[in-house]
Amino acid sequence: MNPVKTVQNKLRNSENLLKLEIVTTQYKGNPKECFFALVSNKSCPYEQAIFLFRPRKIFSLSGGLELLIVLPLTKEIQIIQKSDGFLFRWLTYDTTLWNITTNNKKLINTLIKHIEEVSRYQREPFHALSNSHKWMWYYESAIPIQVRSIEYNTENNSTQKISNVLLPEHYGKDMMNAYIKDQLKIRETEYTEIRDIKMIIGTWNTAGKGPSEDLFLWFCCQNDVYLEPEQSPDMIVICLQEMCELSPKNIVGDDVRMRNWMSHICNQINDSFPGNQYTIVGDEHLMGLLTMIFVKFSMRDYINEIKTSCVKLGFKGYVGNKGAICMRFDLFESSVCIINCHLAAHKNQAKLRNEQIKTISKEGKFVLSSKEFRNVYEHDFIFWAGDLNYRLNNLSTDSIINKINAKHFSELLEYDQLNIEKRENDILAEFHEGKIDFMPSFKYRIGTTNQFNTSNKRDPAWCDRILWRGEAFLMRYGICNYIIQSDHKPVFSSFMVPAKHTDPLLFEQVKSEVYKTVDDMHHESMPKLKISENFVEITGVRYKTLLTKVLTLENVGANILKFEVKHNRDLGLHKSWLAVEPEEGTLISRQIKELKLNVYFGKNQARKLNKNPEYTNCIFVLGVKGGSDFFIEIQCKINGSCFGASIQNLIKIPQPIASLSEKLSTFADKSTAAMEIPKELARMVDFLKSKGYREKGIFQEAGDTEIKKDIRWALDTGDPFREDADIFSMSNILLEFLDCLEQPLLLPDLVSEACQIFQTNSFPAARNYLVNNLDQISMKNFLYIIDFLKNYIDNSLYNGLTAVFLAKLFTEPITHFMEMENAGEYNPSVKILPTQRNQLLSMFLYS
Amino acid sequence: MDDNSAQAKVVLLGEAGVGKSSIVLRFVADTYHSDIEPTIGASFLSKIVNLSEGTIKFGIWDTAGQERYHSLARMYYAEAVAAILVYDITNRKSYEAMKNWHKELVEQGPKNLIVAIAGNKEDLVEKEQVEMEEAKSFAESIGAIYKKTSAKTRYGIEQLFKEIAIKIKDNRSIVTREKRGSIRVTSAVSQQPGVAKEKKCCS
Ligand SMILES: Nc1nc2c(ncn2[C@@H]2O[C@H](COP(=O)(O)OP(=O)(O)OP(=O)(O)O)[C@@H](O)[C@H]2O)c(=O)[nH]1
Ligand SMILES: [Mg+2]
Repeated sequence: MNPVKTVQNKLRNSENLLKLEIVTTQYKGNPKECFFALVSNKSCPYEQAIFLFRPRKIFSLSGGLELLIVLPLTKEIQIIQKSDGFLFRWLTYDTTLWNITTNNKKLINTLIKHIEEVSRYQREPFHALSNSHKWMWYYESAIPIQVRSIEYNTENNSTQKISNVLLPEHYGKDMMNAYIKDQLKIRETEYTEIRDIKMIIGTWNTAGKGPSEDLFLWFCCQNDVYLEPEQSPDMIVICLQEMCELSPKNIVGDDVRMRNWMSHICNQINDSFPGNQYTIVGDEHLMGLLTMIFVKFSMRDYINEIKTSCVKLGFKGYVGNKGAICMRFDLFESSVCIINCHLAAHKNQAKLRNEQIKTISKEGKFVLSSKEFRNVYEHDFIFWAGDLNYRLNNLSTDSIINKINAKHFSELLEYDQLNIEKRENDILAEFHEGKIDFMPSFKYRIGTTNQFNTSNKRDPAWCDRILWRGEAFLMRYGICNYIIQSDHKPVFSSFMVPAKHTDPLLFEQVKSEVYKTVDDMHHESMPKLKISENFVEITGVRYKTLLTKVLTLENVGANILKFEVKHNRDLGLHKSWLAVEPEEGTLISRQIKELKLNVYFGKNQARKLNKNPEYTNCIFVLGVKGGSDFFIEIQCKINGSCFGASIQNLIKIPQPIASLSEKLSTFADKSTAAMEIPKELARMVDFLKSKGYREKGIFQEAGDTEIKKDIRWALDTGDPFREDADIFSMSNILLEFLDCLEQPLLLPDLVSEACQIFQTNSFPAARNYLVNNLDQISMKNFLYIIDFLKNYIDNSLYNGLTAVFLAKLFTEPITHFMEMENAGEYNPSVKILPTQRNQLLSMFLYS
Repeated sequence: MDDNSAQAKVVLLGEAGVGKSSIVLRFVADTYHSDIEPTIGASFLSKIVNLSEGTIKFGIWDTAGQERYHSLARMYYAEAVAAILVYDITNRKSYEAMKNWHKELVEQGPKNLIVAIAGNKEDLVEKEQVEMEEAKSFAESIGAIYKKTSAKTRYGIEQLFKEIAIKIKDNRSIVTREKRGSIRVTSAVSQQPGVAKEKKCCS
């Protein structure tokens, strides 16, 4: 079994399982494997909650999961890190600590970070009516009572700082949504109108009798004369219990009687408030229970999404007459849930009644037309009415009657089971109830207004009650003694329900304003970089000479900024002759930094230059994290150079290459001149010749970097070599020149073929092959170099150079064999070893 | 992270001077400048759009239209969910360039890219060189959103982005239905070395 699936099955479709961790925690004094889950609601992902599940049997997940606790991940959660996990607790519930053993440090960090972020937006301590985490009330029974308490500690409130600032990094993230939601909430009055809806809720256990009486007094919330009849309410909610008699034979109910009741009440309501027309918008019955919702005709469009959910309270397989009808609807843009229940009877069944209340709140569920699930707690206003059947404890019948006669109701209510359970066992703890300043509703002699029937040990009690949760205002709460057909008196209540009515146009307007401030804030905080130039021309670039151009970067924004060179070599605009330094960096506000553009043309770059005239242009992208990208274009004005050029072009150019105003190849195409040997090559060879062939170390010693630089430049400009130019530097440049040629003097495939002929046949045959197949110009230059090198072998007594050694040095510059092989530009069919190539060349030097 | 909170990347492509930057500035900041500079780079701007189905956060990349930056555009459309191809209704050449952009997107762009075509400078309709019918039928043939816009007069700008937003939302709900979020579970128990060893013995 997959734990993720198992846990997901426990959640609703509208919820996301963000993290799941198998941890160890203390449960009933023992360490237990548990599932620690982080859950969010899809429509508001920043509202996260901690869920702790316990598999009923360890690792036998089929045994199901028990939801131990649900806590909103708000600033009330305190996390204390430990070496082997963490502790967490609820701020106002500091006696209980949950000790979690886990080695997942990331989980702890995630929790801490989220709480930190949430703290920015949380305006008030979390409580039952908080604007956030409404979805969590679906799991109401797993939320500790301390967490739900309505009366939050105001002292705490004032000491906590509320920052409520959107950080730049929160843009586009969940936290931004939290901020927006919060801002919309703050500005709610701008787009919502409170419609005070006058709602009458009545509950009555009719004891299976009737309908027969006038109910005008009930609907008008009138008992004694001193109570003015209520002016026409906007809504009337009628909750009946035992509207028909149930027996073991008739457990379904009595449709005829139900219809009678419905039409009777309907008529009576319309008679009670002449000049007004009421229409029934919702009705549901369950056994003896009947709920009806009437609204003024003019209001009917504002009541929507009426859904019902019935909970049967069967007891040990016996389907009794107890249960509840939960009915929900939207009243303008507020949500209302009405529970009409009939709970277990008898004084000694208080505990069972408690359980039944828990069952109702757990099982009463609605499916909205959006396919969303809601439970009874997920509503702005919840009214809990019915025959709750709670009695009076520990009092003799006589003393109860005496106190009633003396109208000492508050004394009696000390013994009221519901009040006690509310206080001591958190039953309906978050619900309010109006002051009871009226006679108990039960149990009267039928046909009398105020005579209690105490036979069968039935004491008078306030069985029939109306409680509420949410910010509704109770105007009246009482009973109708003058309705006499039942042993219960009808109980009435009148509420002012401030329903929110959103003006869609105003709401859109406020929303766009809030979005705009967020956007503005974001644009304000977005990184802003200023670059001194985005078009750079670099002139006087020379072969193998580093040139640096400096740009300045300035952070002109208010926040820290990170920049980086975005490499996109595959897009072909970045060139290897450019190195940007640094490639990334950070600037604080107003800081200025240098960006170095290092330009360097080496061998590879020089060769490409001759093939691709665009090669001296380059665009690179400087990106700013979270902001815009800059394109910086560089154009190099590069001096013509013999390095990287081809022999074929070079022989056509009598003037110094650096002085050319056009590309080398363009110029060569037009030129009619033709030398045998490029003047640059001849100059180097002549220089070395002039120094004799006897000195030791030629072609081997490194030479001087500065001198070499000047030799290269002199070759291109035609200037004389500097006075102190030496043979070591010169010999190095000669090798470099050959190595750099756009095309080698001997192409690798010719070399391969010649090598094979040499092996299988003879050197003269190989030589003939080359002479016949090589172009004239290359051949001439090749032999020119061979002849030149032979002079050194003739003087090997002095300089110690051998043909083998020289062949080894010159083979690669002359053939580019290895280079082209490595670059994949030449794929030999027969493998030719370096020694074979060297051998061929040394044969030329010997011959 | 939840899909809803992610930014939707939109890229604007089109020839230089067709009004890409002007469209973005009109949409994001409700401003218009006739002396706006050509874009050299890719400007990033953002905006939250309010829809009845929820909100969408646009991250908008306004690219440089000049030809020499052409190949860099790929960096921006490669990760986009939507592309707005802009042409100037008074300039036939820019319309042809727009078609080429579409061709490039088909060949090299991301799959499922939402494409919108904006015929900008609607206020200069008397100088129109590309008839709306032609552009519209081209848009239809490639399944693209088509809008005539004017950054100068605001005409069509909001609607252009709204239609894109709606299409993004639609696409997303399909995607999220296809890939149900995967989540890894780490367990204090399974990470204990002892357990791992036992497993080894069995194998
Ligand atoms: N009449 C008119 N002119 C517009 C409109 N939109 C843009 N322009 C003008 O067209 C010119 C170019 O606008 P930009 O927004 O810079 O064009 P662009 O597409 O961003 O150009 P690049 O950044 O170079 O790719 C500016 O002078 C704008 O004022 C429009 O709707 N109507
Ligand atoms: Mg632009």
